[in-house]
Formats: sequence, structure tokens, C-alpha cells
Amino acid sequence: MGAVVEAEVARRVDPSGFVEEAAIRPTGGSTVFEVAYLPAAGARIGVVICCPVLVEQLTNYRYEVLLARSLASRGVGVFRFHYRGTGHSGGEDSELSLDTMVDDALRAAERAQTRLGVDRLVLVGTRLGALVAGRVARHAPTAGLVFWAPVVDGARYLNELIRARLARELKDSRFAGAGTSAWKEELETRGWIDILGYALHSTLHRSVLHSRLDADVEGARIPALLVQFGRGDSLRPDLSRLRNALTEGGGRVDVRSIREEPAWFFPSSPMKSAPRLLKMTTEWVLTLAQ
Amino acid sequence: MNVEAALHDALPARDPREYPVVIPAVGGDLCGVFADPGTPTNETAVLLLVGGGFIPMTHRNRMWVRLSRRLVNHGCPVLRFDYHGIGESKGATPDYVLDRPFVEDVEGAVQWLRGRGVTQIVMVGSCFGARAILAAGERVPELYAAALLSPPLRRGALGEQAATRFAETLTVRGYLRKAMQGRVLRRLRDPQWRARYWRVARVKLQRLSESVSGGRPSRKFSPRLAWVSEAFLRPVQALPHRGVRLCFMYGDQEAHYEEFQRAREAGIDELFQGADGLVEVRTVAGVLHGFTTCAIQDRAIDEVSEWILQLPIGEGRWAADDRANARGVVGHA
Repeated sequence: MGAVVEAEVARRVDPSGFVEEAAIRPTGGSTVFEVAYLPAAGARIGVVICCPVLVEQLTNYRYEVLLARSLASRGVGVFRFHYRGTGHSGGEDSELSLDTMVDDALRAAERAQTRLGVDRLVLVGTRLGALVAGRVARHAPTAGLVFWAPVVDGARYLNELIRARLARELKDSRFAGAGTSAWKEELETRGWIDILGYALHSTLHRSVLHSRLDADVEGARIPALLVQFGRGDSLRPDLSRLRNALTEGGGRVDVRSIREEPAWFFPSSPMKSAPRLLKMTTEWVLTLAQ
Repeated sequence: MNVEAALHDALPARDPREYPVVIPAVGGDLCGVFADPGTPTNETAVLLLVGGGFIPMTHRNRMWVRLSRRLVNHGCPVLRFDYHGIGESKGATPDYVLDRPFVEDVEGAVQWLRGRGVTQIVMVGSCFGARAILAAGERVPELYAAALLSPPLRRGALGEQAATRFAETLTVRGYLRKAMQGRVLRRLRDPQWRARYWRVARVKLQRLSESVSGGRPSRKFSPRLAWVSEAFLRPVQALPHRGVRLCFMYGDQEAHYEEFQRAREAGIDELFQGADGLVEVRTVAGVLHGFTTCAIQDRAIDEVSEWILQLPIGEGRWAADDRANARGVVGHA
């Protein structure tokens, strides 16, 4: 694609009063897809949504749109975007790394303040997007953090991706003779591996491998909503570490459980608990707006 | 004409660009992204449709984004959009029923293209999206050609393939015998398994009810094709006779292709008689459906873009007619 001359904005007025504006804007030598949700009476507080990547971007896509609409209908401005190299944004997936994702999210936070006319932001991050939100919180005026099934430990997340790939290979009978660690050689020699139809490039792999969300937010003193998914009652050890890191500096952490494990890597049917998830998140954000 | 030379002639007057658009439709406003080649006139456009499985318009691993950008750089305007209830669009979460694809959504997208002066449309759809093209095609006079990627032939809802197979291969006695197995009885305590078994039973009951009422199979088509949805057969017969080019594309290892082969053995090719050269069947090695590897995605993008760029479009020609025959075409109907 050649250079984009100017952004054309798709504008839609929701019956509940907010305006939704989508655009693909030139940014940093590339383009970024963004959607701003503008409440009719102006926003009391702004929310920036940091989406996950690879196949989880598809799985979570609709919930992020619905969360944005739910918040906007209650007077909260929202800003969504796609990282460069993903979704409708420009760039190649080979250029994607945790650093570029954080850069894009920081730019989005700045854009959100301007577009929504707010000076305080709540950052929402799902899966790897939580790691992005946690890093951005250090640099943006963050009034709150919302984590949906956050990736706390980068190495563990990468292992989950590899396991999902092996499961798919077994199912498709493509596993024959390759061995469980063939992916390492493939990543080293070719520079990327196929994870369920998505290229995990070494740039992203390297940047995520040693990342730790609990270390990034330690002592942040930012109120946080931590949503755990799954059938278990107790908080998982990694999420427990994250909660402790957030509370260490005196921050308030509200933990909620959704008793359903979305098939993050295998999008097929919508999560039954989605309405509850959206309601609890909207209401939590509204408490910060008061 | 040489392909590269033809493409060079078709180079856009200004840089191509993409922008989101709002598409009014019956089920609520849809969101799309239009890839504009910047040419003075865009009489022919490409419309991309995703399959089921709640996939937004990017398709898996940005397949439709990559295809759009490749085509727009060759001068083709491309519109991709989210079905109602999916991605950025408005509307309630949809049910994916093969005989009730989202025709109103397709019509909304077509209407949007008409508003831009488009008079000829090439549609590309995968799985459920291919069925949506077939269903909508009869109502869209501008439909010029369609690439149908892994279209299923049966009726029923997506995700009911196993239930449909059981319904066709097992007798009622066979069902009861399976239902009485200890493993099945134990699983009935689990609500998820219960729901699964109920789905299997429901499909069989539907088939029984149809056979008792005589509602199906259709008298219009051969009884040997009774298992194929009439909503598939009707447009597959009608569209080529209207001059619409169809390209069926399957992976040679996938269940949908087995079905298609079975339908060919049952005489589906007879439907294309009199429409010589307008129906093409391509296969790629492996499983195309679901696009679960990067390699198969790349292959699909290559095949589809090659097929589109060789279509004789409007006043000009973008490639020689026989190019498709030279590569990759395994069967002509």
C-alpha cells in the first residue's frame, strides 16, 4: 500500500446517544486503525482498550467492542486501536514486538486524551494486552487498570501457545516425527513459527519471553480490577502474585471470577458469561468516574 | 496479453488507501473497510465475506486484509465487512445456519457499492460466507464472479457436521444402541455432553420429520442429491446460466471436499451443462477450511488473487483467459 493521504472517518450515532468514529490514521510511518466512542454529554473519564494479539485478538474482539459501547452509553469515553502489524492497521506482523505494542498503546493513550477530552484514563488489557496496559500505566495518567485473564508471565504464555500448536498438530496428524521441541529449531532457523495459523516471529517471542506483569506494576498504587476465568475457586498463583504486586504500593485490587474458560486459542462459540463480564467491568469503571 | 503489462496498464492514478465505512443494513449498521485503489472510476469491485465461527472481517491472521491490499495495489477496489453481531458491526449475536446465511448483510454491502457507482461485483467467501454469496447471488444482478472457498453442501447449523453425519448413516435402532452405551449414559450427567447429545438427537428427529412429511428432498433435483441443500443446488445451477463465473476451491484433505466429490459422483456437474467454461474447480493440498496454517492462508490468497486478476473485467483484460488452465486447475465442470 502506498502512503495514506488522509484519514476518512466512519461515523455512527448510537440510539443511546454516543458517537462511534472509526478511522485508519497515518502514524509513525504506518497506519493505525482506531475507534473512538464519544458520549453525547462529554466523557467523565476515558478508557483505552489494549487488545491481545494472534488468535486471541479474534476471540476477544467482540467483547471489546461491546465493552466500549456499554461504557460509552454510560458516559465513559473509550478508545480502541489495533497495534501496527495486526488487524486493520498497517505494517507487517514480523515487525510486531511487545515494545512496538507498548509504543502504539502510548500513542493511543495520548490520542484518547485529545479525542475524548479527558485527563484520566483507565487501561483495559486482555491476555497479552494486559502486559501492554501494565507497561503503559507507568507513563500515562492512569486512574485504573482492568485485567481480563492477564498474561502475568511471558514465558508461561509462550508455553501455552506452543502447547496449543502441538494440540492442533496432534489433531491434524501433522505431528509425525517432528518432536515436541521442533518449534525451537524452526524459530531459530526460519525466524517464525506457525501458531494456529498465526506467525509468532522471533521479535515478538524475544520481547515477551522475560516479561513479567507483576514486576511491571509493582507498587503502582493504581486501583485495579482483576478478572480470573475458569472453574476453579481459588486465585491462580500467577494472578495471586499480580494482586500482591498491585497491593504492595497501597493500591486497591478487586478480584472477580468468571466461571467459564473461553477457548482463547480456538474461537468458535461466544462466551455465555459475556454479559456478566461486561456489566461487572462497566460498573467497576463507573466507580472510578465518580 | 502479458499479465504484468496488463497490471501495469491498470496502475492507479493515485495511492491506494483504506478507510472504514458504515453500511446500512436490515439487521443494524454494519462496519466495513474499503480499500480504494484511487482510480478515477471503480466499476468493478471485490466483496470479501468471512465464514462462520464469529470471525471478524480481518479473517484469520488478517487474510482478508492481506488479500485486500494485494488486490487494491493492482487497481481493484475491495470491500470487507463484519456481519451483524460480529466485530465492529451492530446487531445481536447471530446463529450460523447454512440455509439461512446473512443475505441482508450481503445486500447492504452491495447497496453500498452501488452507491459508489459499482456495476460489477466479484465476491469471495469462505465456508458460511460462500453460502451467503450463493444465497444472495440470485438477488444481486451485479454479481459477475464468485470464488467459493470450502463451501459446505449440506443444510443445518455450523458445528453440526457430526450430528448430520450420524443422521445420515445411523438408523433409529443404531441411535438407540449408541445411546444405551455406558459411556454415553455416564456423560449425560455433564450438561455440556447433554447439550451435545441433544443436538445429535434433534438433527435426526428433523430428518425423520422431513422424510415423513415429504418436505424434502426436492423434486427439482436428482434424488441422488437429496442430501445436498437445495439452497446450495439452486444458485449453483442458476448463477452460471446467468453468466456468473464460479470458482469452487477446496483443500483435497477436507470433509467439505469429500462432500463435493460425492455430489459430483451423484451428478452435480449436470447442473452446469450449458454454462461451459464458467465453472471451475480448484484444489490445494491439505485442508483449506478454517485456514489453520499460515501456509494454507498464503496459498489461498495466491489462488484467489490470481483467479481475480485473470478475470476479463469491464472493457479491459487483466490477464489471459487460459492462465488459470495453465496452473493449479484440477477440474473443469
